[in-house]
Amino acid sequence: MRPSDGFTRRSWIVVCLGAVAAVLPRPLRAQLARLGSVHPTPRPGITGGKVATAEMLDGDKGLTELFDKVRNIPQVVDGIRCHCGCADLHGHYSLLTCYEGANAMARICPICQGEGRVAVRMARSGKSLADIRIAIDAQYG
Amino acid sequence: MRNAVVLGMLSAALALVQIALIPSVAQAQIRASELQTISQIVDGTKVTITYSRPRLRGRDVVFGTRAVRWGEVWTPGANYATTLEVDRAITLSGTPVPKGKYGVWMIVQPDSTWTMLLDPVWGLFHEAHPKPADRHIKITVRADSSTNSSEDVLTFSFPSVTSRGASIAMQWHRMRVTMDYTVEPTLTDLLPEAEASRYLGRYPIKQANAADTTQSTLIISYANGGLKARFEPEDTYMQTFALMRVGPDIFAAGLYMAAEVFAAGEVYEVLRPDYMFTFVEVDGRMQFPVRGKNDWLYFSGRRTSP
Repeated sequence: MRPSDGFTRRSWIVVCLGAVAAVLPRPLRAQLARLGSVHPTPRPGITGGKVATAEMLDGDKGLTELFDKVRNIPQVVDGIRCHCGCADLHGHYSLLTCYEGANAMARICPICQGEGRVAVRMARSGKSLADIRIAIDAQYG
Repeated sequence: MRNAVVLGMLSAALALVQIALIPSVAQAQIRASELQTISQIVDGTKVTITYSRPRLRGRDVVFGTRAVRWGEVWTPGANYATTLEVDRAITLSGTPVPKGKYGVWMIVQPDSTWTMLLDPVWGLFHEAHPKPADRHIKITVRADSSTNSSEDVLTFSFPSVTSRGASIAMQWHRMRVTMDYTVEPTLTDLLPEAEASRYLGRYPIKQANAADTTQSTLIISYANGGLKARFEPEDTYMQTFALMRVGPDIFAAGLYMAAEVFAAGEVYEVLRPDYMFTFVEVDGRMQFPVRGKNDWLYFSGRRTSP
């Protein structure tokens, strides 16, 4: 039996598409994100449950205070695009993502931290998400 | 049958791996004209030149010989034509160049005025010598064959950079071709007087750090088409700086070279997001906080007189 009898044209196409798909998605998604809306839409029902805790932050008091404040306004922070460059990373959705998990980027990135502080301060003073986005774009955009 | 399918898929996967390996294997060899990529970013606009670099290899003269004939449409490089890529529009020697990637060709002349052709069809081999065509962007550039220094390897560089643009130089042996470009500015220090007038006046400063007893006043005036600010007593680092609008009532500080402040000089650095003014009117009086990158409050000001 010749290999081509068992390895059909359809199988070849499937293998090729699989190989292409393995290479393309990440930059493609990043490109699409850049072309789309500048700020993400807050996800319905989003919570701050994944925001890094004091334990994950090795007890850093300053960071813990900031992360706790961000955890309390997930519906705001989830509607903001981070301008530090991390928005192009795989799996990143919003500024809230920067604060999630033990390896949260906001642990070390002054831009993520600054944007979070602006969001917290302005949300506390009753500013709308639209106003907060304008301020963050003006300073970090 | 099933084994044959598995065997076939493995063969295909192996073939893909081999294809993926070909470029790295092909690059790993000695070349007479090695590849270089050089980039310069100005105000967020990136200009990239990619070219293979021929060497003199003992030749005393290159231009006007069989190597590069006068009148020839020549690419300044070897192998595939040199490319110039801009990720935003620029103005090159006074000629608009839209965002894109171009093949670079030059009409080589014995005098000092050459024509550079930017070809949207890039990737031609150096022997293509395309005739000037409508699709080409034609740019007049300066050629100088009397430079004192000599480059053994054809070299592109960006010998000068300002906040508005840069210069590009190509040199091989004693022939040096230069051109200047400007980028589209992302910010301006200009603001119509009618919009600027609401911010003018004297603002006594209140330091965020209560222990800091420094007494100073920020004076905001209108000059050379934009808002200018200075501290009294003088801040030797900030000197007179621009307030550059980046959002509604939000301004970033733009630093001038001292001698250029009142000579329509250029801002050489914008302190964004490091030094941001957000103006707000409270009870009929304009005031502002100044915050840094981490949103920490540095100081605030409240106007006493317009």
